[in-house]
Amino acid sequence: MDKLDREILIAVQNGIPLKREPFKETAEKIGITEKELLRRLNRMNDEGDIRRFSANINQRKLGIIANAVVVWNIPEEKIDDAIKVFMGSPEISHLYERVTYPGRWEYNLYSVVHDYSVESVRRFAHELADKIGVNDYQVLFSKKRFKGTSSRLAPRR
Amino acid sequence: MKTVQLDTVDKKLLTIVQEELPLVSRPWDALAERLGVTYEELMKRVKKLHEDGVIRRFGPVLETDRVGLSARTLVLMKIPHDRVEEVGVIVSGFDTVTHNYLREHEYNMWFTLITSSEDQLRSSLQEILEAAQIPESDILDLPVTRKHRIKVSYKFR
Repeated sequence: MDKLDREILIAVQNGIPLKREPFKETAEKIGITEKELLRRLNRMNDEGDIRRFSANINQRKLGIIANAVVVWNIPEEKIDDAIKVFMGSPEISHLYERVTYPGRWEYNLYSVVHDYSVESVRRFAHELADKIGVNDYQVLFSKKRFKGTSSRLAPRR
Repeated sequence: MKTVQLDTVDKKLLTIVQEELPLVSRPWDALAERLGVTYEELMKRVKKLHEDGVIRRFGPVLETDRVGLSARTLVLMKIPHDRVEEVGVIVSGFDTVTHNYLREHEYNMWFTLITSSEDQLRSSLQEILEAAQIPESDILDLPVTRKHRIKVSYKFR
């Protein structure tokens, strides 16, 4: 990624205009052709600097109001099988292993689940627990969202 | 919050664009063709979904590790109940904080921090703790050890 790539990302990261040729305006602002801008965006997309170029959806507006982090304490010998099961579940949007503090905080796997109701999230977590044979987990719903933004590049560093 | 109702075409549209908007000169035309509607019809729907707040924006989801935002962690904090609102606002005011949720747990505030280096991550966390007046003994710093999936894909009803 060079300086111009970065400038392009900064120009589009807050959303492209809802116009028939949305990239034209952005290209003009930066002072390059639309073709060049699209070439670079496609390259960054192919190379993985951009995970995807897509719509950011506010699921709450559609009634998908239940959001929970389900934290799991999974023994070492079961973790790979558990991850296979979790990866096959589209209800899970985020899946990470994180450090633990023995005796203080032993949850090593974190899954984020979204659904239309609290009950369905609980049911889903329960089914997962049965599938992987692990009972030490907690379903932690969000009570309030103070902040939720995607990662953005700063204009200058 | 009032729930926005979707018809069949809206659902198809959202299912596609949550994954990908084509990076071409006229992306909406490409999308319209795929859905079997005119450009005008498609744009009317996109604008309505945007006005209703269902679509926040169309833009890139950055692969943070590749674009220079490589240091990140999840921090869990124990906040006394009477300080939750105050601390929530303080923590969320930091640019390095991307998400901050209140969850039903003894560690009731969960926020993610992202910066371009480990040093910056450490100093940002120290600044936050000082500003919020929360002792280090009341937090859990939980960096990722293995990342498995980050992909939001909703099933629209």
